[in-house]
Amino acid sequence: MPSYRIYPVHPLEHAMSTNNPAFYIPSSYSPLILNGKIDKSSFQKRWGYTIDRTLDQAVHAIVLFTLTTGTRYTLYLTETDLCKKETATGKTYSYLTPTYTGGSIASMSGPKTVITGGGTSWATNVAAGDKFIMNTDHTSDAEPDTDWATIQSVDSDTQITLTSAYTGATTSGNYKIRKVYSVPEDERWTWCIVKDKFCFTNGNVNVQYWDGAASTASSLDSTNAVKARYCMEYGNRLMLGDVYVSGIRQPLTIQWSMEDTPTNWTDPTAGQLDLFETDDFLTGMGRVGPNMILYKSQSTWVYGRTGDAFNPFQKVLDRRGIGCIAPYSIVDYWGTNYFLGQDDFYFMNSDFPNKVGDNPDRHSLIMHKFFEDVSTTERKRVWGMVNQEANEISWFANASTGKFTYTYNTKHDEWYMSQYPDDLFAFGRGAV
Amino acid sequence: MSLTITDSQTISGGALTNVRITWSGYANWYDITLYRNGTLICTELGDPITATYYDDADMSHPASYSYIAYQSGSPSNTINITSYDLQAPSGCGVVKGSGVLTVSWTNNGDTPTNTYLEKKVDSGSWSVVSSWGYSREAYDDSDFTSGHTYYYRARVDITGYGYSNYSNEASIAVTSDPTTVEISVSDTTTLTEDKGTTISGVPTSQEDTFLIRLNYDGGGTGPWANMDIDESYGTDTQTDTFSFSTIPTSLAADSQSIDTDYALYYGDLTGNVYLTSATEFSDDGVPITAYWTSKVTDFGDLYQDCINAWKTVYRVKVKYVDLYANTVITVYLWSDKDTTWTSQSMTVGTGDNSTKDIYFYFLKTGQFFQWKIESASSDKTFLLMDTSVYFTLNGESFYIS
Repeated sequence: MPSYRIYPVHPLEHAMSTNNPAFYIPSSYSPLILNGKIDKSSFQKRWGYTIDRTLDQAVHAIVLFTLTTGTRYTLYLTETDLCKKETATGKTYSYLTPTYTGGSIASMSGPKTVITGGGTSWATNVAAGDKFIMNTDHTSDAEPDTDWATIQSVDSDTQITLTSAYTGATTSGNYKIRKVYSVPEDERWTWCIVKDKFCFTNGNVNVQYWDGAASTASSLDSTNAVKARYCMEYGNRLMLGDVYVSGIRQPLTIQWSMEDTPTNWTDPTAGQLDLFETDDFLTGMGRVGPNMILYKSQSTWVYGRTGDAFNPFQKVLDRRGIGCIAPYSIVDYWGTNYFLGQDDFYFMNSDFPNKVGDNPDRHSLIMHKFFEDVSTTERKRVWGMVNQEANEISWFANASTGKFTYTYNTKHDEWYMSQYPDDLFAFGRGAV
Repeated sequence: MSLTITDSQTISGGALTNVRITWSGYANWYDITLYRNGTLICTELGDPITATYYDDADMSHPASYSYIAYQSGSPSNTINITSYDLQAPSGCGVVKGSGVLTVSWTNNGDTPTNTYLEKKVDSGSWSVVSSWGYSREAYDDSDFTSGHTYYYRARVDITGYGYSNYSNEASIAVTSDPTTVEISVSDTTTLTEDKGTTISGVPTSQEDTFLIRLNYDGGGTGPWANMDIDESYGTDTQTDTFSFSTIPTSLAADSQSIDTDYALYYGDLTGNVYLTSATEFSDDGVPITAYWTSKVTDFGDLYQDCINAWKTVYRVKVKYVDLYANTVITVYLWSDKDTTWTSQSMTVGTGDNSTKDIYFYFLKTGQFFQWKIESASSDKTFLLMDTSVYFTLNGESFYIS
């Protein structure tokens, strides 16, 4: 028998090197793990999933909305709607998107593509792309109801034309038109909860809210809280970033509501702040400890509270040179923010951005892999999620090279990758 | 005059557990010995002795004892005594079940000869419900009607020693059984917003109290809530409005579960929402292919003579935890001259959760090597502990068997 030599790799502390890294290892970053994680000195599969609901549009956010009374709702923000999960047997979800129900339907013709109304004011209240259904045909808690029809054109206050014939049995009477939302290309909803109100915005619509009681969501203030790209709760106020003022986008401006009243934007304690010192755009907002962090693409701004209701915020400092390039990569974890910067993933160490998992033995390998896989354009669309139960922060890059995620395990200071068969686009908590 | 002994039993709480033996016959005694069941238990020497009795407190129970005394070899009469402990039962209680009143108590002391249960109705007289020729501690009494109060007490006896004292008295006021009434929620919207609603039902009889079960989510699993109805309900259909003092929390959220549990979900671009968990091993049925890959190595970090040398790998050892039976594991091996991986697959495991080694055999020569362990399954996971590669330095040996 030959005299075997044994080259052991144990325990499996991580994937990127052994206990005694060889000097002669080629510079390739080939050591990788895929769809697994290192835990307790062993390698295990990552979490899998099973289908729970099927919505009719891309899912942007999944939110567990808890009121102060303890009442909880699982909400979905999709490309076009705010939805509420229904858990009763046979039920699916319902829409909370605003509707228009004025007047009634007099007749359908064409056949059933041209809808004639009576007492309706469609010209100013609905638009092409909105959804139409007759009330008696509608099962509101088992969406998507197959009778929803898409409006092709709004011809007048009393006539709309559908893209295809209405499939419901009813041709006259009460109806509803769901006024669907739209999201800017390559962008998505951001949301927060302020004083029992679920607030959400996407840069394309008036900032919306739902209070857990109303039948649909509503605009917070259609004059003063318009088309913000980012939102956050801070100091019991609703903070908005990259906003529209008097119909003009102001990407370096933030606004805040009256304290405890996210629907009030005219009180003297509501306000606005411009970050004109650097020309890079706002790319997100976050909280770290007591401070508010305003991220721009190439700088980071730290603000604190003054205690003065009329001048509630003051700048602590700014860090120029390190910013956030992917607005939806910002995640909250352990009281700070993690995000994607120009050349690396960072977390805010108090008021200073530090590299995530800055272990030269392993970190550089995954970073090379990420920046090789994901193009400059694709990096701006990277979105992040936190699985606190697994101590993982994952960033999803649905890149042309593959549907990869790059995961950092905060407990074990490890990076690893996963690949998914589906275009995962959102992650969140929901009621069981 | 001959020697005579007598006993003086001490009974406390229905127990005879010690006895006094007194001797008599002469004014002055000397040298008395006392035997119990043939065993000497007392010797009194002297002329005369001063003691006139002996207290035997070392008695177990129940037990039979025979006493006899001697003076100068002359025996006394013989006394036979049986010790016992006859205690009153305790903890008598009664609860109402379905069609029965269940009475229970605890017998104490020595095992009784008979057990007696007595009963009275309201302010009536006590009567024996039943007696048993053994120790019994429970009874189901089906002889009752609503609108009365029933009292129970128990006692026992030991043949020859009479009855114990009575237990405590237990009582129960019997009212009507609640009747299940089918009701339906007529306005779930109001229920959601007001935590109360108008409901209607058809009671089948006049009752004081209804137990209303709220059926939500279609599963009939709502919590029970007590509801007092003051009015007289007959067979007519009636409608009333009332509210629960405690709102079943599961109803307060419009079909959303009110608890602290939550799950983690993914959403995708096609509109699917996925429930994710650590115990799901597929992506909605698509097997998860998971692998661990080693670094590229020439083994030079452990064996310096391997640097710039040719090596031959013979096998790869995989240490794993056997979580699932029949798990397919594939090991890939690569060397510097390869353009593709060489692989070996094996179905391993019995699912006994033990740690095991398995060997995958190769014969590959090169300078640099890399290996990969993979599991692709939709319903199994595996837990990889470590790997080892067995190789030889070609410069020192090359063996063909």
